[in-house]
Amino acid sequence: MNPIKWIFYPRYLDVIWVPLLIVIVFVIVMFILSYIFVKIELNNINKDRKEKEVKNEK
Amino acid sequence: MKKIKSVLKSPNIITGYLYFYIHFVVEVLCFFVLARVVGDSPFLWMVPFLYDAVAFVPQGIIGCFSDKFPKVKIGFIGLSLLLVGFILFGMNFGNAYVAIAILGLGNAFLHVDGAEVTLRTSGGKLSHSAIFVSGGSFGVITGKLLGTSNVSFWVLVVLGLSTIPFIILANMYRKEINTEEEELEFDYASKVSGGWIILLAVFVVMVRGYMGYGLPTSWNKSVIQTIFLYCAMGLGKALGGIFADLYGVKKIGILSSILALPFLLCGDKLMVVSLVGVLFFSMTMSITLALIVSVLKKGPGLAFGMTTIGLFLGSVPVFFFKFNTFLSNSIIIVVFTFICVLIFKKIIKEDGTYESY
Repeated sequence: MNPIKWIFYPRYLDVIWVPLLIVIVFVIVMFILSYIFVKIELNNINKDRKEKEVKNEK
Repeated sequence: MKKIKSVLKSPNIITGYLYFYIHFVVEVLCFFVLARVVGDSPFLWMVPFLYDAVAFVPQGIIGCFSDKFPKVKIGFIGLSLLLVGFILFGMNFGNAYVAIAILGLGNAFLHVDGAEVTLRTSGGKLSHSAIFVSGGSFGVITGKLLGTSNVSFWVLVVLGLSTIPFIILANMYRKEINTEEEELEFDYASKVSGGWIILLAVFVVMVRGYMGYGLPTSWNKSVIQTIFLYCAMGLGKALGGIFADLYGVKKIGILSSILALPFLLCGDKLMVVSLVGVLFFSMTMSITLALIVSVLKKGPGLAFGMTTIGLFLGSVPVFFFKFNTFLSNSIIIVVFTFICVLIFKKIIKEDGTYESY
């Protein structure tokens, strides 16, 4: 039997679907947080670079 | 050979060796559990999927936390979680999913600590982190083999505990170098904007993560052949970093990608030829990491987490969809290799414009 078809059997609901939904939510939250952290880090890097350039010009 | 020896004796390379062992043990424990739970059943795909999600995806967040709070010993948090998960599984306490999730989380913490230690002590070289990363491949196959044997799980608990002095020693080296506030000396990225470099490097990791599952290896039918395959992967990852330090990141990134092609495509039924291809194929691992660190110079933990997110994204389609014929696999490998080569050409700085051995 195809493993993908197998997960649609109602008796495997708590074995497959509940953990799968938890994992999907967990992964999405982690992706969003990682994106935000990278964005913040990149903004900080750009800010530092601009400050350095201003200092060098002075 | 002399040149390779000089890299293997470079300053603080010991952190790579220390974390090679820790990484090896971590993967042994994790894949022991996975082999015991899943075996060869294709129906229990949810278990490795959950493990991959918990072990790979949060490494960016953990890495960011570790970058901001360097005094927190995340190596020991990781080891504690790993052992708790392992003992919960071994003693049959509660749900197996919970044990695997805790185990995966422990794995994630230890990986981030390994990345922090090896990248911060490397002085801008790739070999330290490449040697650390390569330990995983040897651990995966050892764990799988032990999981199908009768070995007691307590033996592996002792093996897990044996990493304590290694973690202490590795963190002492990190403390001694003390680069927490400074920018790391990685400078391999071209002048393309930082966001694009991260995005494209993660894309390369993703593509190669997916391709890794579809490599044509119909020769691989016995246990010993599987061992050879994983050893070639491990060796390739380590050599990628070492050669990149010796001959230049751009040269090795592009050459290893292109050279892997003929060996992989002609080695479907020839083990030795295929192993050479796998060796070349695995060499880009540390290069993508070095590229992201070149952008996130103050956040090696976050940078390492980005590569593992790429690996997870690359492995997700494999759970649901695989190319099963040699021709379709070959087309995918050729097309994506050329895309990766073009990306490397664009985002890696010209060799010789940075200091090498």
